[in-house]
Amino acid sequence: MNYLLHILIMCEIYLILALAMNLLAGYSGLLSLSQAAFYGIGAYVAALLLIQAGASFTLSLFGAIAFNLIVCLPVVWFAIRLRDLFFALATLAWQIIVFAVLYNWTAFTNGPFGITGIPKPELFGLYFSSLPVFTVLGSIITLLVLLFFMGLHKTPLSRFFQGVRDDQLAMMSFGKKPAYFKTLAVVISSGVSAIAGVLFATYFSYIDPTSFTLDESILIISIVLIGGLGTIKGSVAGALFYVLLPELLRFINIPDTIAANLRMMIYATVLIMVVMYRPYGFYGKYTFE
Amino acid sequence: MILKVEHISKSFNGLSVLKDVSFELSEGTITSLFGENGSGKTTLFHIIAGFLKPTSGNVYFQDENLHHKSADEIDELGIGRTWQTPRIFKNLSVQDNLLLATKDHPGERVLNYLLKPGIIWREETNRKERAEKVCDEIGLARKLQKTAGALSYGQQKLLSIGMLLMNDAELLLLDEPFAGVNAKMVDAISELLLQLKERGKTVLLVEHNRSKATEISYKVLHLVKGRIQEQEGITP
Repeated sequence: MNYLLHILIMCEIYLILALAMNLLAGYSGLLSLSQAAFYGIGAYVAALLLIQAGASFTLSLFGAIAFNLIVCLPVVWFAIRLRDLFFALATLAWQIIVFAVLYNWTAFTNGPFGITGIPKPELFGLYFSSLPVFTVLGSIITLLVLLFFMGLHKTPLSRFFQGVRDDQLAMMSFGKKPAYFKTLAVVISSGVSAIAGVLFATYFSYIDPTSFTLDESILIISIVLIGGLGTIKGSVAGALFYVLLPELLRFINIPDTIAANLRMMIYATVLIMVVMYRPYGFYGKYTFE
Repeated sequence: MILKVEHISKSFNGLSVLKDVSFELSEGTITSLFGENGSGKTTLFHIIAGFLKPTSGNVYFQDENLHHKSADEIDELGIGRTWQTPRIFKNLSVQDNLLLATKDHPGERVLNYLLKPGIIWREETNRKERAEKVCDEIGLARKLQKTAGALSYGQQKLLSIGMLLMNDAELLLLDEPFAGVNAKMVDAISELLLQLKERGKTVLLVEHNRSKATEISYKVLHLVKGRIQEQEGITP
């Protein structure tokens, strides 16, 4: 049972990250390689607020979101000035910088040793320490994030994001300011990524910089590419695919010595096939050219 | 005069593309601008629409000097343009394309979702109704929910013109509206342009299809090596 609940929590964390990434890449055409940086900053800010400042879970959650809204400003700057691959390269640099800070600023982050003893969430007098109740909290938060994005999808704002993605010049010729919509997309996406970071930190009670590397950013992109860009159900499918497929492969009888590597190889092969035969992913409306 | 172009010159790295170009457009007329490839037609469009600044000279729209105005400010004033290759939002529906072209949607601003959500949805409904009418007008009524990228090339050109109508443009700058489309579609587009003229819209079109463009034009301008030669009164 605990195993299933653990998988559910991982699905929830990656679903939140995928939805945030989908707003950037799928709706706004911004292929960001720094999503793990915002995920990590969210986790660290919440951990420090909970441990060092003794803040409540709610305050830590909103503190992490607010902090991300500030530190996303360099990416906003990139988004306004750079396009396509140049934007991706700039966000790659940002990811590397954030990782270096998390790894080396030992006074704050404890460097490679990470932060231990992050307390479990406490809300309205309820202590979410056991796995089942934490899963309930995670599910409620994920559901709220999902509803937020489903609502956003139905608003005219979603159309403006997609307009920027499809043709910036055309947007300008109709009097729209692409920079405004890009800023909004980066800000919302960074804020939402912080929520995933807070869930991750309080679930594992331990964080270190290796959970927020460039690999993780690429993984988040691969989730939305596989699920499909520009749709909510694409993000859901991508997150489920990423978390569940390696778990399903556990049931194949593979010798323990090679199991982990072989599972990843099978997973990678499936990824390649999806990219080759389904360039729009499972439910995508859009693909990068 | 709705548009007055006065002594416009434009050089790129010392290469003179437009030389002292001047002309005027009367309201509710169609004017064609002809010229060889590289004669500066598209550059002139870019300057009028605010995507390029002239090296010298001024453009006046309804007596307002456009010199210090950006492309989006010029759009606000009522000048809309299409591009040689239709610049539509290919992954969005025809309806969404038309809605994106409208001005000042309250749903553009995040704060409005908190402060006045009712206005956003009321406006959205009104604009959707208008989009249906415009879609009918441009002959794409049955394609309203179709993805714009799946339309034929000619239909995409019609959609571009429809977007200008949604944008309430008074002056339509059309870059080669007849290029690359079949004869039937050329007739459909020219018919639409004549209807727009009847409604008081002013059209300036750049074209290579001289016979069709001349047939519907009030005035024809020839751009030769960056200089304009004017020919009056084809269709009164």
